[in-house]
Amino acid sequence: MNLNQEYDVIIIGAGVIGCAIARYLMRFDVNLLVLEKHNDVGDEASGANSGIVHSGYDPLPGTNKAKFNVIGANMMKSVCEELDVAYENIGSLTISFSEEDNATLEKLHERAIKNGVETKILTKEETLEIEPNLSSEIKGALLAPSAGIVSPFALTVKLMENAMDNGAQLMLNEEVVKIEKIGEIYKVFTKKGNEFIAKTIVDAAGLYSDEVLEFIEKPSFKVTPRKGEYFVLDHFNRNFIKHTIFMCPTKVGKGVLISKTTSGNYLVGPSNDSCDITDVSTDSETLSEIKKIALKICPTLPFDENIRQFSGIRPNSDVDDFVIKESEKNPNFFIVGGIMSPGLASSVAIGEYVSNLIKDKLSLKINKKFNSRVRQHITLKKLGAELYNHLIFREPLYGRLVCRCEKISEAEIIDAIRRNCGATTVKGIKKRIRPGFGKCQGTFCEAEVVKILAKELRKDISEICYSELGTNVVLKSLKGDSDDK
Amino acid sequence: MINRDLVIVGGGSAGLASAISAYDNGVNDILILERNGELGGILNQCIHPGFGLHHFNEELTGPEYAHKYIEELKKRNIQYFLNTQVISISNEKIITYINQTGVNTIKAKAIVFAAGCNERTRGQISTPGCRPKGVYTAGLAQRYLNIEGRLVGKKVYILGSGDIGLIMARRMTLEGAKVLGVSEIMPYSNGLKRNIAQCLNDFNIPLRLSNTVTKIFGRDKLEGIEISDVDSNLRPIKGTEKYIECDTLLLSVGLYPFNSLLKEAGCLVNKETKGSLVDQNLETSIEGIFSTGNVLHVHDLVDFVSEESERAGKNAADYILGKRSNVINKLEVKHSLNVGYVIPSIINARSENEDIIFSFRVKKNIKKASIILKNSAKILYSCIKKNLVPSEMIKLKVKNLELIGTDNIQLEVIENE
Amino acid sequence: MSEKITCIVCPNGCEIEIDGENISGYSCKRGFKYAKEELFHPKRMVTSTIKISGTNEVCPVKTSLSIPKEKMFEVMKEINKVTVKKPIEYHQIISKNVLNLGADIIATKEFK
Repeated sequence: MNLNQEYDVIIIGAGVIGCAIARYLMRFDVNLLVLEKHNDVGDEASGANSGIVHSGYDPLPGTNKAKFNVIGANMMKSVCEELDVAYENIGSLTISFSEEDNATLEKLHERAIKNGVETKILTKEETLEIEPNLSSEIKGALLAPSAGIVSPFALTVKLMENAMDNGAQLMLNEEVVKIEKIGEIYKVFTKKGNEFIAKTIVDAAGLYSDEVLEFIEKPSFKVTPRKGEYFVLDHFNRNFIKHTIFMCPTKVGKGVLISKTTSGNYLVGPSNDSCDITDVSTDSETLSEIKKIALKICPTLPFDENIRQFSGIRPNSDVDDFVIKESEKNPNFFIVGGIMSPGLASSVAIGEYVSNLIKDKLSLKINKKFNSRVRQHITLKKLGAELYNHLIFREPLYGRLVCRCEKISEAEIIDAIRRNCGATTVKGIKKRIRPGFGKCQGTFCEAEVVKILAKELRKDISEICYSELGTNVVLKSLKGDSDDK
Repeated sequence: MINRDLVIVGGGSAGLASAISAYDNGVNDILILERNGELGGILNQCIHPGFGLHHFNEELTGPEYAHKYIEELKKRNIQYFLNTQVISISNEKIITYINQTGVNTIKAKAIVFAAGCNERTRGQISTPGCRPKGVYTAGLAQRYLNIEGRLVGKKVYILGSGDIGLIMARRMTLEGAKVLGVSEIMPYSNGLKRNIAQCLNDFNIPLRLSNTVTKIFGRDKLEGIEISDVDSNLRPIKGTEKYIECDTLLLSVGLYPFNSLLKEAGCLVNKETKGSLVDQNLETSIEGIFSTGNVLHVHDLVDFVSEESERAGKNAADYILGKRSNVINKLEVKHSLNVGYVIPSIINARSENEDIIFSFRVKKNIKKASIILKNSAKILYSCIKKNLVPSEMIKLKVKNLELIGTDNIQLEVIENE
Repeated sequence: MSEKITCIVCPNGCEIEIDGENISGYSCKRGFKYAKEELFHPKRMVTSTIKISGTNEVCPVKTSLSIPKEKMFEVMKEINKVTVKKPIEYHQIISKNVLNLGADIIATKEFK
């Protein structure tokens, strides 16, 4: 690879925002490089959040949040269809427990009208009729039919896969440590000692977007990380709760939600605490507080189906709105920072908007070969038994189920490795096609997944990592003549 | 759709013993469906000795125990499909499976469900802290070591004194890892006493009772853990925290039946075992579907799995061959507070008196106890047993139990002074 | 001076008390034999795996007899030096008379 080549655009950060900008940029004739410091895309906030496509009634009218949320939520269904990403338009209910809450719901309803979002106030009876497992203590709810859920992992990966299918270049494990402006162009230095030059830089570094900006100018905002802890429940009953359920928002945030995920699990959380930017730990007190609130909303929520707890860090900022603009001091340096909630719902709209800004700035031509669709994943569930049989006849590895919780075949795993933006780690496989996400949490399939990765990547199993470089799952063989490989 | 007399789901110790027993009791049309590439199930990775003392009267390793059964299976020409995953079972006993020949269905006259168990994971015990690489269930680490020949780490701590964890403490030590200790949240060990002796004491590995892991450190790779003593309510005691630097944490915190297929088929579930609810013939609430081995309830010894599964195989054969008489009385089996669970949960009596095998566990250590079976009118059976512990399943073979003119049966374990 | 040991012969795990020549608490002959041996010459069976050459697989093995407890790590070293070729028979001898201890290393599983 020629490191001296000049790129039209370098995007720093391959979270859902960086990947969305990359995907939409490839609609134009552009030479694009994406730099990511982790060993996979979407490993910070994009990989640990609620997966909710908010409808957009909540942000204050006139803000970037309101603008991009509403457009993004409207785009999401068709984007997910193009990218073969799981999405469901399940609607959301914001629950009231008091007269005071009812007044808040009224205000939110008015705000929804201003934002152009359809909502409806439901009585207690109407709410319990559609969600009979909610507490009988509730006083009513605000229904937002356009809200949905999406797999945040798949969305991020597929945006990048599609960008790469259309010619974008991704380099992982490249942490940017310095940026210099030389005349009209930018020179980007990475920790590994590599240097890259480009006409345009996009700072989509999420939690680190202010740090990256500081390499070139004094940032106008500061990222103030907030931790959210969650429970994941097994897929025990898809209809137990049908909508995403929010607590009525208070001054400290949207509060605890209960929501189905696209895989049929339930998420319960998040908390909302300030934290160190790298602290992804969970703690018992926070989790038991979440549990208490969730049981207030839904007293029969089966916590014995709990299979995992995790935490994610939101890239909140001190300006309390998305920062999306070209730098005033440094032309062709685009800042896309502080993309907190509803960032996931807004991601595709931000991607489209920023890519248009760059197109205008660089006078990019249309990429006539752009293909907006990714090659479909083939699963038993999608195909049905009869068609799947034909597939097994052609490729018997579709008949070898590796993950019995989620029913994933060896052929699907191989496919997830061989694609653009393919998986190279155990976590990468898990994020893309789910083995390890089920009730057994990988205790049954992990060793098989490691072996398939080693075979496909032509490595010894001791070279296969769980996630980041250095997280090798097993050690080298101690036995016999160590003819590993 | 193909018709078969008996389909056995799972080719591990339970499936193998059921198949052989059903064959020996007159059913020849048997098919075993096994998800792995070989028969024997989890025995293949249990390369340590300690199996077969009850059943074969000699001490065998896991692969040897499996070998003996597989030889018997082959003598009888019983058919089996490998690399075959059952994906659904219907209440009509239609089995859908998938393998490299396609997605196929079979209609069975009877099913023996012998799919084994899963390990409890970190999520299920809610250990707080970071989520780095380096936290493994003991069974997964065992698979990496004994099947792939690889250690998962060099400085190891173990949470839970279950037998797999103890066995792994010895195995990893012998392969050159340093095992720093074992924490057990309960005030007593959950493993067999001899495993404490030969797996921990032999290598001077400390066992900390009433102690647990309260925090996990390391963003990407495990760097260390915090352990704390717990009080009588199993809550960590502030001020007792201790940091231990390690690269591996093994979890040996219990097993649970992998029973989801029968649950989806509509078989009633025993809330205490998480396996199916069965009668004295190991028959579930759906006629002709039997459940046995670790998918029914988690056993401590494979010998007991084999024994139970022979009964399941014979009962399935009797059902297929129409050898059973009608049910003349239906009884529920209840238990007192200090019993964790009892199998069977119900008795479908087909004659006035029957030999019934009860399997149960106590909830706490009891030095000496009277074990009583009674109905509302009288005591039907009693005996005295010593040294009852939760980690050891108790089997009670009651001869000629009176089953007519009686209502529900109650199993009581009464602590003697 | 008396000493208590846990019998490892079977899963019962009897607590055996040894007081000089006086051994009590065992419930079978094998337990008695174990207790005597444990006092003067403790022995253990070693199980491990041996690399199957030319593959990524390992073959489970055991010592055909129990070996002196203090020799366990030396026996492990020997086991980890050897490789074996397929096919492997059930109970095939892989190393004869390891370290002159009188026990062989034998395969506990067949590989075809």
